[in-house]
Amino acid sequence: MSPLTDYHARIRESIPEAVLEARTELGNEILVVDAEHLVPAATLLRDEFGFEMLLDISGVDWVPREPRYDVNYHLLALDDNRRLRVKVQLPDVEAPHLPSVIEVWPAADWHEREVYDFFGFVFDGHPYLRRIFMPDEWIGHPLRKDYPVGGVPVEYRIEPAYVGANIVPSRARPAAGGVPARLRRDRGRQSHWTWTGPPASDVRREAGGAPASDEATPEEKAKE
Amino acid sequence: MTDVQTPPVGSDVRDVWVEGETMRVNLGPQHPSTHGVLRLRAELEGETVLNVEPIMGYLHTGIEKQAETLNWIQGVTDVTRADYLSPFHNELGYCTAVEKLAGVEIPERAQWIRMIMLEFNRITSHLVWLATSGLELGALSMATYAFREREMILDLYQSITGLRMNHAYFRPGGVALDLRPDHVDLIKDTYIPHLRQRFREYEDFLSKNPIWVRRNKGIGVLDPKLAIAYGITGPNLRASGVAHDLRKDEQYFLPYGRFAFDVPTGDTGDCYDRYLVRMAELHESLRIIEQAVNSLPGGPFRTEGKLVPPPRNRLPVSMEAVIHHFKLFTDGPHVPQGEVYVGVESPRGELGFFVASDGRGRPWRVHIRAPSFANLRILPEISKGHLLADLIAILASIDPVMGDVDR
Repeated sequence: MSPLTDYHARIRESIPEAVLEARTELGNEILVVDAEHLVPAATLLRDEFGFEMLLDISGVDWVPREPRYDVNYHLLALDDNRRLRVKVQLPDVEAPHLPSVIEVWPAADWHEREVYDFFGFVFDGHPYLRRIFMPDEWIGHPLRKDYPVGGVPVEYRIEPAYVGANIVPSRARPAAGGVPARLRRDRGRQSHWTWTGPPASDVRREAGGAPASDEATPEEKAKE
Repeated sequence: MTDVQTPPVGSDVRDVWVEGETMRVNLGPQHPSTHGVLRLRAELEGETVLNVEPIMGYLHTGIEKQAETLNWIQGVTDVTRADYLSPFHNELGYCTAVEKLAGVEIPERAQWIRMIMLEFNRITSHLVWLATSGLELGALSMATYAFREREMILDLYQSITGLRMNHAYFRPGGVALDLRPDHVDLIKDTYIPHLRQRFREYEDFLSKNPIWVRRNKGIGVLDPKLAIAYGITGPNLRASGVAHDLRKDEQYFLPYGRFAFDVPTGDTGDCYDRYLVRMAELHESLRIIEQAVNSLPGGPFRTEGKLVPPPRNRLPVSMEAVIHHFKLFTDGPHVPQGEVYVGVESPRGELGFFVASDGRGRPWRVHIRAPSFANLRILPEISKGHLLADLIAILASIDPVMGDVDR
């Protein structure tokens, strides 16, 4: 009996619906846990299986899959270097909610803020959930797949005192940086790694609810 | 400290300290003692730190987002810039994750070369820590000494990889260039004896220095239970007495088990213990390098297959090699679908790489578990109640690299 089935059986004993799936992938043991039962399952893992250390929380946007988002919790048991990845899957809504594990592992504090910053998942119960890397007034969550690369206008402002002959006055200035919007190369630049198609919900509906992960990229289509 | 507070006679300046009144002091982000662009908002009562809030993001460069736009080979040049003081460890984490996804084993010689470079990197990283913390605590000459030795090792990096920093020397499937015999001789005959003697000099210089000892002993004590709860790894955890080192793990993907080395640990977990642990690690790294260069196996320095370019001399004679070369540098290799987490023992702790592939030519997601980011979280917890000057000592002893924190 592998340790993974142990965890699975033990959690099922006290919280029957908590574990959705248990599998091993490339040597990593993965436990897919229902978001509602995350905190009790995490407490069990910490107290009964020695996963004292939460190393990392990371989000993944698997658009157009449904459930769209993954949140991975990487756990470590120090005594025998056992590792476990607890995975929570979240639906495609604007701000998915999931419980915070900060009560179980204080280490979750900044990791949850990071995931909130980059993906916009709301960790219920986090005492200080605000952006950690991006500026507070930033719009959007940069690591989502529908957030383009290079589409950020340069933050640049001309002080009125410096407006002279060689600087376009701010009223006549069509875009930030003094460059007309149509000439700016970084405006809305998108390539095949950015999701440029219709909204994910449309794609899923067309595909009959199945994940459309094997769709060809523009590059692959050109080759065919 | 609340007794002696007498107002000066006839002065309008309000320098009377009021019981219970606190003051907010902003340190950084542009300040040499914050190791880059870290901003600390400290709440003080008198000179005692009540609370600290680290504020970061000033060096956020979107490395994770950018890695999604680069192909599997180009990704190395991206992630190597995350923790700029230990580029080889970043490269190792990324390359190992790609190799695991692709199911590629690297040759023994490549593993040995990687281990030699990694341990040299641990030394250069610890030397920068030694230089900067010496600078901050008044041992100014430490900065010039430690950077002198670091420069010497950077010359070796340049000779081996072509670059002093951000080498992109580890590639998925092995390393970019082979180690030449003269490199091995240079390491054996010059670097190891020289560095060993110099590290002893540093210890003579600092370990018994009364100012150094009084600035560090009993400051910022980190309880092992607290460290584990907050996910602290690396020398900071070992200084608290927990002998956790991934290199001693039997399942670690590099054969460190073939070498004899110790995992230094501390007793109390204060700044002085963290100093001692890092100094001991310098010597342990030298021990590993010495054993590795003496047992360096022959054979290829990178694997063959889809992940690595064909040898240059095959190109004029083999059409397949030309096609492979062309495909590799235009389209990039395709890595099977899956996701993997790889933990690397970096100079700052566990550097984790979570890499997900959707089966195409670019990573779907690269996430870096930055040890500095996790370790920095402990700063507010262990600096409460210390003086403001000690806050700098504690921050230095945690050894965060802002490129790693912000990514």
